[in-house]
Amino acid sequence: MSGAPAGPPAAAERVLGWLLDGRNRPVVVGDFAEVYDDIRESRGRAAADAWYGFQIVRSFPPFVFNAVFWSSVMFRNYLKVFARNFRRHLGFSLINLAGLALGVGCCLLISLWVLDELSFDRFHAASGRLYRVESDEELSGQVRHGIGTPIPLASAMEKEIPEVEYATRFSRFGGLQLTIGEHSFFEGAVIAADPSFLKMFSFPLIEGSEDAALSAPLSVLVSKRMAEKFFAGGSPVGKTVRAENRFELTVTGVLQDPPSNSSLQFDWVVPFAFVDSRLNRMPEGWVNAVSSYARLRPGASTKEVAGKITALVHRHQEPGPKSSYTVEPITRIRLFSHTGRGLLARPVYYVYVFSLIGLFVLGIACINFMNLSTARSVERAREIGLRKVVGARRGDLVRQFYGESLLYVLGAAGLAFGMTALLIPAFNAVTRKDLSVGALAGPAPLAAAAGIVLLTVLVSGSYPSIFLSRLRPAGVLRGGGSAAGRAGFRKALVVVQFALSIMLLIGTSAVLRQTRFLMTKDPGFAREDLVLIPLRGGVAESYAALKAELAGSSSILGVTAMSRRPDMIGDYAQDVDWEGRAPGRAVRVSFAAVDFDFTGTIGLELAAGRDFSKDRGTDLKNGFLVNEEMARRLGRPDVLGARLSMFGREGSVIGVLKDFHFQPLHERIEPLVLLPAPNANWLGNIVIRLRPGNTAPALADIKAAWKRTVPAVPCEYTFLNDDLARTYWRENQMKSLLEFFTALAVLIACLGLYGLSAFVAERRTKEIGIRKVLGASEPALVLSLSKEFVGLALAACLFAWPLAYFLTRAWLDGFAYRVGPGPAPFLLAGLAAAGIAFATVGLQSVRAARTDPVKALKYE
Amino acid sequence: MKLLSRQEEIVLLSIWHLKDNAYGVTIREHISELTGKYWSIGAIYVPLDRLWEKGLVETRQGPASKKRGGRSKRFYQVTPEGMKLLQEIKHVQDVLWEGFPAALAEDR
Repeated sequence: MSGAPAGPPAAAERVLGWLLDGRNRPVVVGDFAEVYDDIRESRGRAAADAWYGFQIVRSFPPFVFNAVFWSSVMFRNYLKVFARNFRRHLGFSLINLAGLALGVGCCLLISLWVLDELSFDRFHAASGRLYRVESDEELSGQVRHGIGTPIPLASAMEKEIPEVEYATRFSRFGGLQLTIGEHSFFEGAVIAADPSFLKMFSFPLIEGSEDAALSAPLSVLVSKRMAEKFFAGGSPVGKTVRAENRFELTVTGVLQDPPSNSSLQFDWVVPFAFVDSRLNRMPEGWVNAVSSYARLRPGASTKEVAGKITALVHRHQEPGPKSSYTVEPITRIRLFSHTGRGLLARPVYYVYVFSLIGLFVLGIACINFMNLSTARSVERAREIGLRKVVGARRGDLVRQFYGESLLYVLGAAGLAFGMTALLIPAFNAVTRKDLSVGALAGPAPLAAAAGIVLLTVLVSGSYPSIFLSRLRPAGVLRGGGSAAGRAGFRKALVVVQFALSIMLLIGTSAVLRQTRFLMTKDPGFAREDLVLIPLRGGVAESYAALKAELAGSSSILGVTAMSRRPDMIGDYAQDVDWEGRAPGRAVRVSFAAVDFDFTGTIGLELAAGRDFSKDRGTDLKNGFLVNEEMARRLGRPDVLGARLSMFGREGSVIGVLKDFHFQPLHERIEPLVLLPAPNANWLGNIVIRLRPGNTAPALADIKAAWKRTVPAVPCEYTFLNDDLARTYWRENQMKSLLEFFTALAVLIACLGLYGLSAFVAERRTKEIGIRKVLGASEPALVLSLSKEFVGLALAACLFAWPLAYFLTRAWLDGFAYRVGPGPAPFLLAGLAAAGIAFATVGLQSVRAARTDPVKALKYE
Repeated sequence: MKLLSRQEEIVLLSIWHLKDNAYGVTIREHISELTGKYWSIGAIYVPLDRLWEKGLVETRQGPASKKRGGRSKRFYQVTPEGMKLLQEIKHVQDVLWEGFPAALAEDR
């Protein structure tokens, strides 16, 4: 042999080594190398390489055969052992499965909700380039962010700003009275938009042309569902719809229904020109009155566009306070708009909170699984020991246990899918969503489900596989208490489980108490027996006649009218001034225009002065009522007679009303000024107080009076109290969901605890027997078994309290009026957890303590 | 008496024949020459492992060799039990084969 022999190429050698059976690998590889060198010496390198390559190729079949054959044999064995264990401990296994199924199902429901929230407004083909123009308006020294923009802005933007491809105005303008054949009704879901609307958004037309559909002022587009409802059996295109009893609108197209994950919802679209020039419902000039949407060209900078819009508006606006403008991506409207303070500040926080809750519940279910699996490890230990003795490597065992948890989780996921499908209708009702079982089959939910399953397997399988695979066969087979030392970890898991449950309990109780507070808080007037009828379609002009008719009814205590509604006044005065007002100090003043009988009908109390009076002609011209908050702002000892001006109306304060809630309880009671409505056009709603207990006859009287006075207009009334649920729907939704998920979480935790304590009791059967023989009483035994778990529950409180405090505080901060966080819910949640632990474990311990000690000692 | 498979028997005898130079490559060559059949390198280790498990051979780590890519050889040697077994087998074989003609043609 001459020179240094090179040996076969290193890469080839590695491949061959990898294909060879493990035990003799280095020696065999050495043999191959030696033969390779021999061949190379005698027949040259090429021959040696070819031979070596051939050796690699012919090692493949046995390698593949071995791998498949043995893994399938082991797989069948794992399955068999799994099935045996499942059957032998049917109770445990079912508890495990049920807990996991509930956890996964709960997670699945939440992810459907979250995915739906995240999908909002993403269905537009150009969703990445669609923006809403928003304004920062200066109002009495305060900057207010809003979505109002000047009416001429959209068309000016389209013409003057090159980056704007399309722009449209969008306004709900208070709805229309529509008459189609026999039907006459008020339709709120009407929007006014420009022709560009159809081009920039993806609201496809089923019938009609994009270019012509909104060009004539007297045209209307109808959604598919409304077309089916009102024009059944034929195309509506070309038919007419009567609006406000005055206009004949021609249907020029049928629109696909807006998807439920669109933040723009509507059933009818009329040209903006119709509202502007025919209905005359829009103010003149460049004041912020409608929303504007724009589609920008690809690559446009939003900052530059916003700057150009601001400059554009300032060029056209008259001197005075100026707004500045920004553009907000349409995909952020649903989740990132400002809606309040604290956790209510942006809707996206709800997405975070519910995702967190989903993870909590899943975490609790995973902990169950880990606990029950490791608790049983003592029994499994023999199996593991034996497997190791006959040659199982650690990797094999890890794979086996992950495989078992995968089987469990897959079974649970199957159950969870069924559960979700059953629960979706109820879930939809609570969340006001339109999720369907079919939605589960989409790629995103399936990906979410796969993610949940994977996460659950990883988390729940990790501890058993890592811990159990580490057992030493010698120790285990000799029967040493190998798992006893691991109880500490199980305890830690139980503490985590308790802590999560306690947090959910505290959160739920806070939300529960706050929603009850919202629904029952006395607003300062009797909310019951108040009926609201919107003054629409020219009814305002007949208000006086209507009021006279209604006054005759014995079932009606009072009739009045006002600009909005007593529980949501919502109008701010731009230019209020009073004697001694500190210049430059921002004060936001709400105002309402009211009819004379307002105070008495609503049932407000006067703190000082007198009510408006019809008999004094001066009240109509220059009387003002203020609330106590406004009186304080006036900053003088004697408020009555104080000079006040508003909209150029000079006058003086004639009375002070006690503070009442004229806004949702998220808001503080702000300064309020009431003035008598100068004419009927200021009035938006009739407010009628019914005689308590006389609802039915009163309603009949109202309908009859309405028919006599304004027969052409449909009478649509609501009860003020019923609208309360709508005002606080977000809070009510949060409450219902939290109740549901918390109940589920606690149930899952109970299941796990029950299983765990059953196991502990079983393990301690002998101990209990001996204790009994030595004279322990049953109560003492129960106590000794349950006190450990109760202690864990109490320890969990220490972790749960601060976090729960932080979260509930953040949520309650969104309300100006709220229940205090108080120590009671915290203590109660802790006690509840301890109580649940005691009850669950106690059940087991009683059974254990009752058993005959003779049987117990003979056990095994 | 332990029974050996034919393969094991051949391998064990080869090791005895090769004396101090019995390792994977030489054993395989020796057997291939004797039987005229191709034995793969890996295949030789199956009977070798079995013989070792039965305590009929023992192994010794040789010095690292340059020729084997720096890997050392594993030399095999027949243990006293192995020798004893071989003798027993030979005895049984001799008895069994006694009188069997060496060539079939002569007898006809």
